Amino acid sequence: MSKTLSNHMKMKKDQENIRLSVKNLKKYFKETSGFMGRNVELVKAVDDVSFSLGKNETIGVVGESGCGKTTLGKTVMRILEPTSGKILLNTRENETIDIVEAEKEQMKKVRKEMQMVFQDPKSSLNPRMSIKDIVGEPFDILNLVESKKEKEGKVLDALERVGLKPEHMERYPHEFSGGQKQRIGIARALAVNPSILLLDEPTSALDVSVQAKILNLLNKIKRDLKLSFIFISHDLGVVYHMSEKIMVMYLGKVVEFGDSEKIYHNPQHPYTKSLFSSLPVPDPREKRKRIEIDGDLPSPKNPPEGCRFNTRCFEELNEECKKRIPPLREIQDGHWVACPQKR
Amino acid sequence: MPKYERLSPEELEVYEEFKRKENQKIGAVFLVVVFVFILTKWFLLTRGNIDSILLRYIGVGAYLLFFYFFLKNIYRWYSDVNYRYRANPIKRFFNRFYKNKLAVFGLFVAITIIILAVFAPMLAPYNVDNYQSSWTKFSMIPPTKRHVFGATNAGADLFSLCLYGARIALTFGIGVTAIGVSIGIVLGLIAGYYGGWIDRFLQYLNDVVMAFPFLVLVITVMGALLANPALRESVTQIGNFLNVPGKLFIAFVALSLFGWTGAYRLIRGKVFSVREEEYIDAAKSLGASNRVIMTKHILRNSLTPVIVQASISVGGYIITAASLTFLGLGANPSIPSWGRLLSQGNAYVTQLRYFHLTLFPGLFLTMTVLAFTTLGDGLRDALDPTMRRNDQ
Repeated sequence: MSKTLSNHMKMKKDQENIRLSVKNLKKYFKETSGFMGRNVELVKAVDDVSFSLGKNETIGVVGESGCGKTTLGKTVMRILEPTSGKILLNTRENETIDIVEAEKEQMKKVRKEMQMVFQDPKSSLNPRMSIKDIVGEPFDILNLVESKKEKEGKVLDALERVGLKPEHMERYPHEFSGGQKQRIGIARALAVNPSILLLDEPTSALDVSVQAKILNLLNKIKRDLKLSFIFISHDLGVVYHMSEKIMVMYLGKVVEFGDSEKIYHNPQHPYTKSLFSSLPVPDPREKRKRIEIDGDLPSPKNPPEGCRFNTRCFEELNEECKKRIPPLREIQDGHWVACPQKR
Repeated sequence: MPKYERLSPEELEVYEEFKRKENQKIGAVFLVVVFVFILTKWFLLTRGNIDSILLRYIGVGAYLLFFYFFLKNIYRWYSDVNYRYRANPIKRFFNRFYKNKLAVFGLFVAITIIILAVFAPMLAPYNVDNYQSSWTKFSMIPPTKRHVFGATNAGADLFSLCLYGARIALTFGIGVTAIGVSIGIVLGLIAGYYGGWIDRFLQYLNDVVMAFPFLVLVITVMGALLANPALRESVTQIGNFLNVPGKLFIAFVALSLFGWTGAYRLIRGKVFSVREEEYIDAAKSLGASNRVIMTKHILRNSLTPVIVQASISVGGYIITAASLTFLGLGANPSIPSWGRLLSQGNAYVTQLRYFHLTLFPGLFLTMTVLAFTTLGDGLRDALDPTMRRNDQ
């Protein structure tokens, strides 16, 4: 009795703290072929994903290429239209908006709450616009400023926050280095003063020294502005460094979710295990068992029956693995795994 | 090569000084030229000699001088030494464009032809209203001092006719290109951005239009329209209103409606690649509308090849107009055009003493077409260096 009560209390407390909760989100791409598109194939890029993001929290999304990380991000931002599911956003004015069903006016509110930083700094800035125009664009689109002067002041603020100088305003993207471009991308996302920042592999196109600078900048921004991050990356080290929670995706499904310490030190799902065993160890004398998995990522057009990982799993498979899609189960407090063999 | 060269403050001051002096020089030269021109005119007027060859030469010289300084000067206005490679795209464009001397020459010739066409009534030394009238003592005379290009079969001044011919040629070339490119841009943008069945439909339309034999189409439409007196009357009236007379107007409409495929295909292809760029996603994530995305982000980044193609196709359409007129399908006989001049001179093309009948209209035609083509080439190189062909 007391346990359920405390659970209830905890849940209520969690609810108040939640910024964004994604429920059963699905994004299927239709691929048509044949005469007049007679044959329709579904590519299940994001399949039944649920998670919630707390205030001031970072969720790291990891997984290999093609597992649906980026699609998840774009669907949450509604750059891509979700097939089904719910994305509930709690704004700072304590309003709950379902992004999937939001109308135009509501979407404007969503845009002010949630912004995205893109993967490739080279192509995420329009080459024909000056930095002033790029960072000032959100103000124009969302009608946030009255005058040109006000806009310029806000653009300056945004640039200053990411460590760029006022004289950079009149320049064009091709005049900047990769790291600077990414800073401009971050400035653009921060311009509208959002509460959630969606970072789609923000450092994967940069070299290591610049990566560190950008990551530190992001952490500082998060602290200063009290932001929540969804941090998408394939770099496990970076994700561990950045996030409180980690979500591991495989073929459009979440296979493991939980506190990053728990997942990093005690991975439960065979896929997560193999992922983390591939991390290089700084100490050359330390012996570490590497788990290698065979084969390639199966096509998301026709994923394997049952557990999607069963074609590459190194553990002994049982009947359930091949028949039923395993649901996410809480095996420990704050540690969820989708594997039929873990209880 | 360093990415940009910065000048020290002292050097910059020297450069600014130089720039100021150069500008003053240009102003002085311009004033002197105008002064000399007015003085000569006044001098000649007092002697009752209104139509003077001297005046004409001075005028041409003044124009060339002015244009030379104008080109030099505009280069200085738009290229900023201190930010040579980091300047904004327009400055970069001018920096690159002026390095290509052939393209600058093309621009010069194109602007000259346009000026000649616009001011033909003022510049032409002789009236050409009745240039078809009967045989006179001037008929087919070779170039002389008074008739620098000689005279036609009917004894009209060939130079004046060439100037007037530029009007119809340019109206046709630029008009058809403007309409065709506008339609092509809109359709290409829609097809490329929305894709799906809209794209498929427009693609079929494009294929159909491209499969039409243009000449046959024009002849057929012309036959159908001109057979009906009422239709013929209205066509003539609209044509006169637009300064594109007679049968050429039908060709004008037909080419405009069928000439969009080039721009359409270029824009569509470019839009397909541009819309996959991440800044489009970024604009979407900011909540930009389709209209804003299409005009501000996609169109801006996919216009380059169309600008080039437009410039080149102006030349092509001028040739088309000339060949249609040559075949008797173009402008009315009452309107001077290069095609008609060429077809009139065609009978004497084997006789050397009548060389001027075909040489000068042909030269005008060729120079104009070449000018627009080299201009297009230069634009391509300056707007998008990655599109540069390997042979340079």
